[in-house]
Amino acid sequence: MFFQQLVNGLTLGSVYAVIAIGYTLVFGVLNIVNMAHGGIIMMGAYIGLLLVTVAGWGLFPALIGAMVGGAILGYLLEVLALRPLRGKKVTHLAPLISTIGVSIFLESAALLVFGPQTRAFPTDYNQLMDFGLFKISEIQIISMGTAVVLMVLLTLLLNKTRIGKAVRATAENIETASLLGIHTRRIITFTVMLASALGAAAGVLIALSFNAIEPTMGTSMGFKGLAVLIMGGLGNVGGAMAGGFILGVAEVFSVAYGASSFRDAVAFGLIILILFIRPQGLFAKAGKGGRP
Amino acid sequence: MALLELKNVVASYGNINALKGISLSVPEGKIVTLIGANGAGKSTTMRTIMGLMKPKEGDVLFKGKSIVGMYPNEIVSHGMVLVPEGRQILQNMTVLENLQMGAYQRRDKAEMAKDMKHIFERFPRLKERQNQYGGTLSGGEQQMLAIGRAMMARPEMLLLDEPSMGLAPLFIQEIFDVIEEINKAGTTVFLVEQNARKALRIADYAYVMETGKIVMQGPAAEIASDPNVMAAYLGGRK
Repeated sequence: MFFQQLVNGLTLGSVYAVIAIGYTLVFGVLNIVNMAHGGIIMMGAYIGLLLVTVAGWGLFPALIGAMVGGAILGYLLEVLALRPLRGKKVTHLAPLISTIGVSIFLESAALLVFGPQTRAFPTDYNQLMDFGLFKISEIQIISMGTAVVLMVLLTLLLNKTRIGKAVRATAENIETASLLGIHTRRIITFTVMLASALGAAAGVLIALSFNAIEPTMGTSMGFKGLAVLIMGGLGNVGGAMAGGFILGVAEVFSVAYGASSFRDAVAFGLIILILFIRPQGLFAKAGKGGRP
Repeated sequence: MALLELKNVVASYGNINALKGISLSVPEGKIVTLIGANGAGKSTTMRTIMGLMKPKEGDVLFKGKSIVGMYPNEIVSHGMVLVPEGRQILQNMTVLENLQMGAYQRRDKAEMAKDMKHIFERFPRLKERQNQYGGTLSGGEQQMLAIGRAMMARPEMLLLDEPSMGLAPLFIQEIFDVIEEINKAGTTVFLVEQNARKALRIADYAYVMETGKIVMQGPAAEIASDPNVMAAYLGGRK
């Protein structure tokens, strides 16, 4: 029982981690919480669904297709909703409100186009593997495997490549980055696209794991990602990863050991608790992390 | 020929004019210093040159062309680099990564490696600490890293904003030695300093700034021997 729940929790947590990374990347370079991220997660799920059902693609090509779609949505989000507000004499809350607007727009658009009904995500991967201590489904393996691969690739991107280092420099101090010759506007656009591509991938993984896609799925998933963002320390990629796994495991265990109706209460109770004890987040470094 | 020229530059924070018509020129190959007290507008001058602030009036010419309205990264690509006030080391990146970011716009890997080697020879401490995070360095080491990082861009024109601020005397001497070396190697230097004595010793020409205006200028040796300079430098009335 314990190991089974641990496996379930880690699988769920890996997806939460990918969602939270999307938040944390954008927070890093723009200092705002991107409330449209949940909408992009949901759109990613629908794009994946359409590619599998209508276009007849396999799961992995559809996943990549959804990520490309997510990146395009991210580009539009940055160009239409965020860039026009930058450098203007507007309140610093304006871009936040703007992303809330985008989130409402995406949800309404999905409602209009796809309808309110919940759709299933068809898949051929339904085998269950028995390891004695625990059972794991093919879907769980795909979900966790994909999430881990994405996180490894992202870590390599941020630490080893020129553009990744530019993202980190821009996240740390945008003015210093520009003085070093970094085209910071382009880096911001790239970061929003990257985060949105990860969000769309997470959307497909959620659709796969829960076998349910609906226009409102982004909201609840988005809030969980937000919880992880705060738990891990704002703008901290490593913290987002660890926080995702912690939340996933905590949530699954609370369901397994009796409190299934408190599933979400656990998630948000955890944030409140952590904010009391460590207001800067669990893994925040000095400087950027913990800024309100 | 003047590499950098400011013509009657006015810049403001809101309604307060921080620069009230600054004109100055930095000839190629020289060290020019801008001295003055706290709040005189020295850093604002630097920020305006680098495109971090837009001038309300006037023009900034680099290599004879106006650079007003350009973004900082475009100005860097034209060959001018600023070592900002307070060093602005990337705290969460290693010493090595900080230096690499200095060469962000360069693609000549072999020459970059050569420059990196040279910087590590000049600052052996940076080499020892190349895998440490920038935030763990002492103030003096951070200043060396900031200068090394700017050198990695191989600028034609190097701007330095208060490089001696908050440093121990031993480090201050070292920093000024390095600035002279960089200049001898062919880089034009524009230096903003509160430490007027040291700045005037290495500079060719000097401007003295007071509450947003240039109040005095001349060859550095002349300015250094002028009895009014200390008063101006302290920000008082002459």
